[in-house]
Amino acid sequence: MVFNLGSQAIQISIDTTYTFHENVKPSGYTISKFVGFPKIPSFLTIHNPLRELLPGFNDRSGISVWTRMGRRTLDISKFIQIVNDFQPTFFQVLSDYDVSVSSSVKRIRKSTSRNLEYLNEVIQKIDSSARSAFGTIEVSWFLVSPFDAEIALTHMLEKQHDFNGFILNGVKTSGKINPINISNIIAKLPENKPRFTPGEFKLWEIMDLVRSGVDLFDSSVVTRVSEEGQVFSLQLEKLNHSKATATPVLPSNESIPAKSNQINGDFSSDNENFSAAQLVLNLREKQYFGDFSPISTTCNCYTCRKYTRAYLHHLLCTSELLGPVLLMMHNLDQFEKFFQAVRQRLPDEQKFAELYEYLKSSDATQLPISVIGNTSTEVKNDDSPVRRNAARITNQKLSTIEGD
Amino acid sequence: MNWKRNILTDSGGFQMVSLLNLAEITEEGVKFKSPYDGSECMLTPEESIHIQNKIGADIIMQLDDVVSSTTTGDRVVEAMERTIRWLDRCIAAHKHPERQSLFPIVQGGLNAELRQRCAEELIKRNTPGFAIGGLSGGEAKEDFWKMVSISTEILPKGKPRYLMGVGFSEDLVVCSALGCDMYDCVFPTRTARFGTALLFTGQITLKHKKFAQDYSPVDETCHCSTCTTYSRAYIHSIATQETVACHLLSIHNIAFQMRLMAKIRDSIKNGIFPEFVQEFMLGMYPTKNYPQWSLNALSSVGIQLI
Repeated sequence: MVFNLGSQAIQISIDTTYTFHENVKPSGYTISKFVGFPKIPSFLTIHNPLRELLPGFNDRSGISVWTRMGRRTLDISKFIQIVNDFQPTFFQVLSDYDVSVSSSVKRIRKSTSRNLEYLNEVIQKIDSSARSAFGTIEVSWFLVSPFDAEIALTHMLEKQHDFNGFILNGVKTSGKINPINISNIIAKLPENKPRFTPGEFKLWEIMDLVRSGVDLFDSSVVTRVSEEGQVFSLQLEKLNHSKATATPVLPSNESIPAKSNQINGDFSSDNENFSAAQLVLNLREKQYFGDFSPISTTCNCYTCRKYTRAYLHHLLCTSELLGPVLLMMHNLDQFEKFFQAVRQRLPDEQKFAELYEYLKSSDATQLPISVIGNTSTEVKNDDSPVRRNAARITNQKLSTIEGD
Repeated sequence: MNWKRNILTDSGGFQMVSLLNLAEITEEGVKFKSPYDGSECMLTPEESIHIQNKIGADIIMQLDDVVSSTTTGDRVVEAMERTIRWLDRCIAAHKHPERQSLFPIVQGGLNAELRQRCAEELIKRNTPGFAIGGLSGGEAKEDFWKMVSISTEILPKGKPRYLMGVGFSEDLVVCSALGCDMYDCVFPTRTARFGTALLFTGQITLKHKKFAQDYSPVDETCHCSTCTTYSRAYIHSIATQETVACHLLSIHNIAFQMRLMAKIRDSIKNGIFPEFVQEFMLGMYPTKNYPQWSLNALSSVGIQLI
């Protein structure tokens, strides 16, 4: 294995693995073992967090998931069956996600009551000592109808001893995080249960959420960055001013001619133009055509030990499968380093703010937004503009966050 | 690329066949037209060698005039004769003969006499090795092995013979028996991307329903990372759906090719190559319904199957 997952878990979503569960069951394997990571904990969610979900497809018969065979409906018993078949370490309780700032109060109430109903079923039917359930709170409930939201939250909290964590869904409204919403909600949650906000956030947005009390994040942003041909070059070691190195001397990059090799530790000899704006590089750009340095001279990942920017640029320009693979390996490593830095700086408000400002001030962490949607042609009779637009959005292949 | 072992580059000649519709072939060279923007690109023997010199591969190929193996008549003669003239131009253009071996390519279609003439001419140029080209297209296997055999008969025994575009496991074994040393083929990785794994018992198409609950490794006898980590059931679940399936099966299929070639080499070194061939073919055809062309080819070099 060239990639060390360290303290992470793998996220599996039901939409991508819908067709698997009947084939996993007879083996007795957990989903972790089935996908080749027997020792790594797994977190089962309903949807791939990068998938934009279409409104209007949840009802009494259940919650919609978009599988490779098209849209399918998950009712609670099917959901429970899937959870039992996959034996994940953690899982998201089935949730009615179809709410937003523009939902009607009626829609909100449907969502809250379904979520409570699903939570109750799961508590009764799934052994919590075997696996940990995370109940889902939809942030939009609070934006549309605080009254109904509070009632739902109260009911959830009554059962808090029967499940193990909270997912806060829909944290971004209109592409932005509203910290007031999150902090207010989190203030009511018990201290000892982890809080997870799924979805794609910029690194400094993650830090905002951490300040508000969130513990868990997924690697959506890493997938998105990699798909755009971009790489993080956070240079956190430089930020830490650590010349005395906690990281050992890096092996030289294997594909750089010996004379121009960089060795870790002596930043003054770095020919890299260090500036805050360079925290994310787009390796598709022509400037990397002849750049025979690794992505980052202070990174120890497989990609940075073995390959140069010029080679990665070539792979991306020729659409070779290896390109995104190498980018993901590097970006996941950077992401993990980022979290280490966040954890390290948490006790010291000043150090935490330093990292926050460092990341936020870099314009380059503003990622282009591309819409990834569905060509589900199942349009209900109500021919609203939202659904017509949805049918036109091109379906793009998403990579799953399985850590393969 | 961070590849510390040997590299071989091809000249671009094969695209004269695969991209025939976009190619204009003259004595000067091949002019390709881009299907994307209509721009043209002239590939001459000199240009091909120039590029291969820059890349710096250990073995480089001449630019040859390639025709599809199902072509007959004057075009085949023209291609064979031009290949010889282009070889001389390639040799003249080659800047680094001391560290890059330039291989000529025997052409001549399915015509024994043309192949013979071509090989004789190429031998005169005293190159470090030889390639046999223009085969492994759509021709009948019975014709294929005969053309290979003619070439290996004539080409000097002390220099490597590189059979281009081969191939399938059985072809590798039979052609090794006929005297070939080196091969290249897109088959193992291409078939991997479509969900097929190669085994000593043949091929398995993992997309097929029957593997849905098969928790054994792809190949019990294989030690590659795919076979030691994943089950057939898992690969079945992701084949043709997730890009990682392409990687996992490519890794296995290439590992398989390496094992096959190692077995061929080791059995030759240990003087038990015919026994290996017998065992291999029996593994592929347990009911002994061996293809006639294989029987004929092996028989021509004194190997009988059991």
